Amino acid sequence: MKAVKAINLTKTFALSPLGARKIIALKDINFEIEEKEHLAVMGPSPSGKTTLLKVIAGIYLPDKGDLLIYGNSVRKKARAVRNLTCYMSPQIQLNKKLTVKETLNYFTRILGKKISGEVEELLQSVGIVGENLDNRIETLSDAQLAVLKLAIGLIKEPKILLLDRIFGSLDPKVKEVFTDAIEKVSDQTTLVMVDQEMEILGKFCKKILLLSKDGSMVTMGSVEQLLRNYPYKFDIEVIPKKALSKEILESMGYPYQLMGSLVRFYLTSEEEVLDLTKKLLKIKDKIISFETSSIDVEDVYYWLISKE
Amino acid sequence: MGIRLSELLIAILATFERYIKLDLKYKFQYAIDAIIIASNFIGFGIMGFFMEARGGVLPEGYTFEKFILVGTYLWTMLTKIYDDCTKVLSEEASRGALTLLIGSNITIPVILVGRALASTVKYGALASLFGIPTLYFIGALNLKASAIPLAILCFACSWIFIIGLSAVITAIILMFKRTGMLTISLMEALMFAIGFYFPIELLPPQLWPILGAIPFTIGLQIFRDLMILGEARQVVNGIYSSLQMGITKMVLGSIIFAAITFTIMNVISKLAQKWGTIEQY
Repeated sequence: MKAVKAINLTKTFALSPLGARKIIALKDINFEIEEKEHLAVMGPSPSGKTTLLKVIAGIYLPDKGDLLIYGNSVRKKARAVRNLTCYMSPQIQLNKKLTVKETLNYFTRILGKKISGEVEELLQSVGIVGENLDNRIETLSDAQLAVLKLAIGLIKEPKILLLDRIFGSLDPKVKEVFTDAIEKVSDQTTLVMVDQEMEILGKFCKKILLLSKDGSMVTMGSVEQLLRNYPYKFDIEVIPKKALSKEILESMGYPYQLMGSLVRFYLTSEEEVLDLTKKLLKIKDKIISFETSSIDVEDVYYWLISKE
Repeated sequence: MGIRLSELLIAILATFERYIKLDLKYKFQYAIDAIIIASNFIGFGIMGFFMEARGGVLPEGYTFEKFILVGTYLWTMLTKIYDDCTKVLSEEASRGALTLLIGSNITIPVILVGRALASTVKYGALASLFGIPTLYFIGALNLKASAIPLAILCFACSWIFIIGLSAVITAIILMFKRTGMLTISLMEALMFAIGFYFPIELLPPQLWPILGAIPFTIGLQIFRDLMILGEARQVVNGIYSSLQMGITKMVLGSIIFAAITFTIMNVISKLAQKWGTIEQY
């Protein structure tokens, strides 16, 4: 069953009142997501990633084309779309002066739902239980707050969970708690994620949608499919003491990418890994460390971006 | 999928309760509001005490003090409600709660009405705390039990009109994000237009049909009569030629005005979603 279907989706933003001047955020996007599929939306900034999530959530309406959520047009049935989706972002805040109970009660009433056992369990996992429900939101820890926001989003039992840069904004301990929370619910929901945490995207998402800077779609496919088309199998990431000269990098004889002073070499076989390792050891006085790994989502992303 | 009336009422009621609870958390704000309202009564009380209307300007049985202080009672409540309603969107957006509310199918009109109801309770209590003793003290609390329903109707129609006006301002905020001095200026102009400072029959007769058609003008005038004289006059120059006609004009006027303004606001909030500016203030 199709959870999301974008048909020639175009979204512009008004730069002046009444929309006389506009900027294109999404341009003629077409894609489909199956139910319970997990999709990572990737692309440079700005490429319309957040906009896409907000259109899926029914917060923004498209200018042209349409987006169907379980067959409901976001243009014609925005209310139904909002009932099926949950958009989460660090920008979303709760009224800090209200207690947890007051906040939960408000959302259960307006959504006409009860707190499910799953949500209760989620809250319990971070100690939001019993007397703690009477605590004001301003007294909660970051982990409790992050999980509470997720719990509120889950009250309406959304079929599609939209996570916008949630993980990148959390500190490591909170991230761990939140990752566990998402893991608990992700099996039952369609997940669409935007995040700078490539590791997290790789962990949850088996499919990638890549957007370009002008808001158009570059490609969409499963990670395996993209990896198959990817010409390399390994990468070696080198952290130099100071930026390596072009001559040194060229002398290694392999394609590379510079990210600040950090260098990433791309290799096609184990023999090449061995060869480059030997060469790097020869210049060990110039480098702090290097690490070999097999190709992952992050590599594919940078490769696709470099082709743009 | 449209919204059912019961769902709409639950959403409004829940939002109203949320704002009541939120207001109660800011007790210092309550103290400040109480001081402002008390200052209004003191200021207009002094003005009414030392000033006298020229002969024949005010109806028989009225003193300027009673005239201005009964007006202050109603005006204070309604302008404070208007203030809260015109600020609510930007406050929710600055708190970061607006996206979550919209995503939970809470519409801008629901937010506005929920806020208006909570502010009515808050400022109704505060204005009555100072207003009722003041009016009793000056002999302007002559409301008869039989006239209470009409007094409530006058308040309700004036309230609907003010909420409609807040909807216009909200629509402008949704479109232009800033209103400059418009929000305040509108209220200043309205103070003259509805006959807060002096009866509108003192203004040029050419303006009477317009000013007399404002539901708040009729509501305020009947409310004053009920409080000061104990009953509403049958004819009020510049406003209505029969009480029944005045009440009909007030009820229909407020409903039609609110229906038009809320429709405009609804359309503009949908456009703001299309423009992608609904969360920006």
